[in-house]
Amino acid sequence: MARIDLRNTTITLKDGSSTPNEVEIGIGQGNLTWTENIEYEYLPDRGVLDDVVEGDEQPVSVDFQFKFDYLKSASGATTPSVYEALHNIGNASSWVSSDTDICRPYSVDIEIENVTNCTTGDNETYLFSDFRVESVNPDIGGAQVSASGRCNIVRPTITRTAKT
Amino acid sequence: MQINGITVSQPQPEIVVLPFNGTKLVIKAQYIPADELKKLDELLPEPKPPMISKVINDKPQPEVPDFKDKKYQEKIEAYHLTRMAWIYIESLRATESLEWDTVDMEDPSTWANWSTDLENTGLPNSYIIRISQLVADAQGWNPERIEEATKNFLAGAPVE
Repeated sequence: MARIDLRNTTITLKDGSSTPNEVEIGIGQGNLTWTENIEYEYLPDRGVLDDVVEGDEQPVSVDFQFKFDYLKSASGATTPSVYEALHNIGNASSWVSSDTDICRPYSVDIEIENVTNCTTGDNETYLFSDFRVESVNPDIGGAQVSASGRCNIVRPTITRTAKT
Repeated sequence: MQINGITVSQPQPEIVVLPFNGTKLVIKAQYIPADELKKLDELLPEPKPPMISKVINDKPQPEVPDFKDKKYQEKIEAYHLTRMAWIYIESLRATESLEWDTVDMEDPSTWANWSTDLENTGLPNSYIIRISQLVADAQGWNPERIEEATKNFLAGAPVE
């Protein structure tokens, strides 16, 4: 996978509203990583490797830690902090879970938009749907946040669009 | 209110007659008063800029509107185009039995179709431009008319 300069990207946390509430995070330094867990079951035949079947689907794990240069809200809305958006509190208390099943715990979508700064090459968007934070470590004084959690998907949706 | 002894009220519709396919199309455009524009504001609210909180020397600053936001600028451009389209459609409502093919007044996303609908009728482009001018005239957007009337007055022509 090509290396992405996160300074060319914006990370946006979005809720599940039809016109989404969102907080856009301009990254100064940091990184986001994810792990796709794929399970296979190997079925030997009398001690010799033979058949392989897919195991249960596993959720994607997402970790991020970054120092941000700015936070930006959706049009006209008061800007929530990343912490508030992840927890559905404070300025993000009116956010609606991104998961369409309202009986499930609150989640947000994480969208990473990589706008390449060269004249050629497509822009890329990575969508991690229904992220639920499991660990968060905000640093208010340093304008930093690190968090980890899982998405109820097996892999992110990656789309490319031609530069306009 | 009276000016020069004349009671000033809402302008009469502007009219142009376009000969087309052996018939005459009578196109009328009316002035859109300020009250109607207020209704438009309810139907099509102006997009608001996102609020941005920048971090300077590791300290988040108070949030301010971000008028330079690219998505906001796209929205505001689309907003003005849609608003202008509504003025054209609403003004041309003065034309009897005018039915648009794809414009739905309840759906702002269709308003910009007004010019395409006109083009699809087969009317010559010059006619479509004339209809646009008619709407502009009805709104008082044509400064040449004012200049002409002023020049005529100053040249001694009687005020009608």
